[in-house]
Amino acid sequence: MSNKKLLQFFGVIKTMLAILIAMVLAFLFIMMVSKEPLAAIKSFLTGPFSTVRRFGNLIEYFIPVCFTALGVCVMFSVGMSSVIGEGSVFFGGLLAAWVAISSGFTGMPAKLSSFLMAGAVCGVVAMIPMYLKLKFDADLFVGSLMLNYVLLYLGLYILNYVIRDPDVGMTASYAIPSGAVLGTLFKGTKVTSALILAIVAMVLVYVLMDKTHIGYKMRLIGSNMKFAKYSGVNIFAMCMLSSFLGGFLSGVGGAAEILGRHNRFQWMALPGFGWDGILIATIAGFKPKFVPIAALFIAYIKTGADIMNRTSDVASELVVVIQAFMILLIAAKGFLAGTQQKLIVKNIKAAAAQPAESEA
Amino acid sequence: MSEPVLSMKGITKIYGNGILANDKVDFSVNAGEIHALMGENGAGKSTLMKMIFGIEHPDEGEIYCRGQKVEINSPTDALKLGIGMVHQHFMLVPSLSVAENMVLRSEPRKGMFLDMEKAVAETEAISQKYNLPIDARARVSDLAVGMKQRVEILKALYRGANILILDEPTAVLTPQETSELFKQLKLLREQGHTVIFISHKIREIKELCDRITILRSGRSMGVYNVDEVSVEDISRLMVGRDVVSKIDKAPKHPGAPVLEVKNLSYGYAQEKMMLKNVNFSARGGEILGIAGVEGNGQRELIEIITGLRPIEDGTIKIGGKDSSHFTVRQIRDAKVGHIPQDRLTYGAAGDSTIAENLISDKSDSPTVSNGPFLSAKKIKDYCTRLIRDFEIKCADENVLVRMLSGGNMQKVVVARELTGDLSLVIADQPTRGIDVGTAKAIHEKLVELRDSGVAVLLVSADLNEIMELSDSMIVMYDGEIVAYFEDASTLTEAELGQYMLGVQRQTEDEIREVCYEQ
Amino acid sequence: MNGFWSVIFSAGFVATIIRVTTPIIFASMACLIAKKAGVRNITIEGTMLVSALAGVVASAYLKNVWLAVLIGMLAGVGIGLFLGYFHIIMDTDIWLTGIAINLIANGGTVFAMFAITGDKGSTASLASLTVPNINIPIIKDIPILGEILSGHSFFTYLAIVSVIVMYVLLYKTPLGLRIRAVGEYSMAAESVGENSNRIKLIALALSGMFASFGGMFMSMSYASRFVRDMMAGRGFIGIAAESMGGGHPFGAAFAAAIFGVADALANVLQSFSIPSELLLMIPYLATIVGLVLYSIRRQEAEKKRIQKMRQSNTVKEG
Repeated sequence: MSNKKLLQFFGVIKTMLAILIAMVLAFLFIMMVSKEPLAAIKSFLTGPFSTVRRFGNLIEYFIPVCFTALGVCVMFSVGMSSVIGEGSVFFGGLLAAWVAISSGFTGMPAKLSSFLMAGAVCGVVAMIPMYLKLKFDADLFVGSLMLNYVLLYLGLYILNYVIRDPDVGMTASYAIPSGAVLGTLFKGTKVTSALILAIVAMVLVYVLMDKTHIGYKMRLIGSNMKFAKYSGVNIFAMCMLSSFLGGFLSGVGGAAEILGRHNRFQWMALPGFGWDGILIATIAGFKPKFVPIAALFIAYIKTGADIMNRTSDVASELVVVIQAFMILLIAAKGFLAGTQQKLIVKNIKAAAAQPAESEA
Repeated sequence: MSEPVLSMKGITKIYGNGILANDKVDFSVNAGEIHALMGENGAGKSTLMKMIFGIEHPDEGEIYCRGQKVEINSPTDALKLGIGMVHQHFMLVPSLSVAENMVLRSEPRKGMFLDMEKAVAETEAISQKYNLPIDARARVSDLAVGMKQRVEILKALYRGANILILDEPTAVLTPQETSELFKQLKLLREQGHTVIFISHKIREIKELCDRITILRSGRSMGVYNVDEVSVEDISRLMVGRDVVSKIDKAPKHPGAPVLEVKNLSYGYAQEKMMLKNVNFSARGGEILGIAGVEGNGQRELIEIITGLRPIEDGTIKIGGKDSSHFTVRQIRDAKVGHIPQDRLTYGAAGDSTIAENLISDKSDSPTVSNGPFLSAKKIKDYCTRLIRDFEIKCADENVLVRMLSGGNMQKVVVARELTGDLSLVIADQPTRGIDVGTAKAIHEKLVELRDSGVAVLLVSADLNEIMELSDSMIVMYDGEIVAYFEDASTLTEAELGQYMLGVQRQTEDEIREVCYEQ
Repeated sequence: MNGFWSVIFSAGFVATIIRVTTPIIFASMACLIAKKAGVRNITIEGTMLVSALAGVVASAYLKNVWLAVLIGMLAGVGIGLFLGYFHIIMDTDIWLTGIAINLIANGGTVFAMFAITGDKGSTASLASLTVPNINIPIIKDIPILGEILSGHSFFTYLAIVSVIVMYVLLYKTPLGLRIRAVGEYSMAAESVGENSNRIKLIALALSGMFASFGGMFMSMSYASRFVRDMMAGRGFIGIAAESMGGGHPFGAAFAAAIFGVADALANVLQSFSIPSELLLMIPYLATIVGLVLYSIRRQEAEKKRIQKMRQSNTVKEG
């Protein structure tokens, strides 16, 4: 086995083991706090498959996080961590609702304008912290994070003063016109045509990142920015583009969520899809082609946790903790490093025993 | 000579990326000698020394110090055994003062606070004791290279080291600083200290050392008394064959200037001017060497020409067109190839594959792409051809670059830069730290390009390389061109040294001839 | 608008600034010491959350506020070491580690709060204690000055002391020298036998400690209970303050005070019928603007410094 293949194989094993450890940890936590731990664990693990509606929930959850995870893959490809996905998904949802409510379009134009507005505005907004980073060396993480809060409060302002429906008892926008609501694909669920859009996005992002020279250039910047500059890559343009696309995808994810599953816009806080996107992208090794599997898995444990929350005495926030542990273990280079070194040494010795096939 | 003060038996070390750095190496030094450790880059010298100093740990083998078997797990263990190391890249914190660097980790205290006055006093005391004068209060970042090295040596002595490891100490020094260092080392030997001197400069070892251990690709080639072994023997043991350092070149046929640099100045935003009114031209069909001690403006000059640094004052023309404000991309499109001096900073991405490195400058060209799409087939064909033509030793183009040896890595850089339609090649330290075989191949390629009419600009701190390869030569000193030699072959090393050190300079008219204006 | 100015120039407003600056000072000190040791600690927000909850819960059960503060502090130190373990020992990307730990803190505090109180919103049902305010003798009786300077939370005075302690620690003690050496060039410190991991862990433990004070100020002084997500980005604003402080404790504290002013303004303006959403944006916008302004200022200062060095060089040469 070549060293590279060995490392890849090892990466997969490591990811699986990390997930396993995190799940065991989850069960330990449940045992600690629950009066009926076994029932809680059962609803956590099997809940998502118990009814069509619940399985539908899983797929419904899968859709927005797919977009944010793809966005993270693109944004992080240049090697810089912008966390603008969270604010983008929120603001994208708001913009989609706003456009749908006030544009007066119906049918395809309504949907299209909502999605495009959400994507384009969020894309442009996502470029701001990157611009400040490139031009002024302002910390990208802090900048993008602060902008999330700005987007949250700006969105709440728009919700309260522009699109709020005074006739309902809670803070919520006017109802989204039925012309803009996405059609469902399966009876008994809210799985909408956004699923198709998500699959298209996956293919497009995969092709962009892995099969075009634009994606190649972004990855080159991520692996060694100086080398990319020396090779003639336009660093500024590529970084801005990656941010735009990241924001665009997250914004579209927010639009898909609001137009698909909600009658009105009524998010009062950041929805968390952006952070889930980072988690999923981490599990996928920041490779778009692995995003579907990782997103399905996260949607599964998230849905399971929600069901557990409803049917037992364990809070669903547990799953956030568990997810975070997965990030930690998967991203930890030191995790199982000793085993990896032993494997490599063994591999080399085995290769040395045979006539050398190559000198790599 | 007395018995071994330090010895290593059967040392094997394999790095995480699978490189076998040392293979059952035996190594031993006697008390009070200066012992040379020699070998090409990648031969395993630094790894072996890092294991003595506790930075790396052997996978197999034993280390003995003064007859006792020892485990050296950290630099602390090494320091306790009286082993100190002067690293190639200085281990000094730039923003701290000399005294602060000296006492770090063994700070004099006043109660729970740091006693700065005492730190300064102790630094001055040790510097007097070993006759190595230094300003204890100066910031390290303000010191010259030779002075920094002196602080490093003092630091080891302050911590009670009597076995000193010096890792290629002369690589960064001027000839004067080098001879000063040798005087100091001989003095230390008289006082009973043991010195391990890592180098690949045969002449220095002949001048300074008592015995020599030679490493070749991770294995020891034996121990010799320096007096009893000839320069030819040493180089044969190092590279495994007789080095042919002569390069066969046909007479040059210089054409029109390809690169024209006019009134180039740089450093208005720096603490001092790095380039002062530099004028020269490089002609097609000729290798123009830029000689000079490192840090005299060569780096800035090359980075400005290649677009990595913005131009401040002056003009640059490539192929007759004003390229002063070109982007890197535009410069590359003007048929310029650039071998940068830092392989892993500018020249390659270690965690990317050979293929990704080979296409970095042409990912959007029809050579490897169809419209916006990368063509797997084109990439494979292109890379296979380059790997074959440049004899890059690897399983295939999907091997990660960091898994390659230094020489093979450089071949990847060279293959990318010297393939395709070229009018100007800028080679900045093209063979630094790589094996002789690869170096020779690169030299031949540069001569081949020159014969085909390409202008080659060669920057090198390696005197042998620059004297052998250059047709014409300019010498840089303190940001200026101080000499131009139309025919570099008539030049002697001593003569060149005078210009490099700023002792001599030609008249303005003589220098001006490098612009080829009639 | 007359009412506005009279509020702004009141002693109460200055006292408010001091109060809202307190957690940001702690956060900026937490960031500073970690950064000096070469670690970008973005878990301060999460650390504050965890300590805030730990302190509240401990005080409700132990009925001793100082013991509770100790426990909250240990929780902060624990998170600092947890970050250190993953980032330093397990070689995990600092940004991912930070994001993960903040998520753990976010979800974990709600999970734990629900397990303890059955409520996901706040710990209102717990009879938790608050840290006392301190009246400074003599000063408290001076008009205006007394109102501004006296009667603040124990933590507010601790924050001021922390800035001075940080300065002394970094520049006047052996540990500070080692922290700075490790942070600037860890290999140099290692070459003289320093265990740079150990120094980084110590710095992160201290970082966690400072963050914990900020968190407990929020839940045991500013408010008298823990509310989910109650830091509302103060930990991150502290990071921004640190980066504007030019790597010096006094600078960081000064920058923190600027954010305190923004925060206090947002508080005050709420009574002037300006939409609260827009006011709540102010501190975050101020952070972004501040980051950019600082960076421009730094670039210009660098230019000036170089100009000066050039001049002195030319004098020497001439």
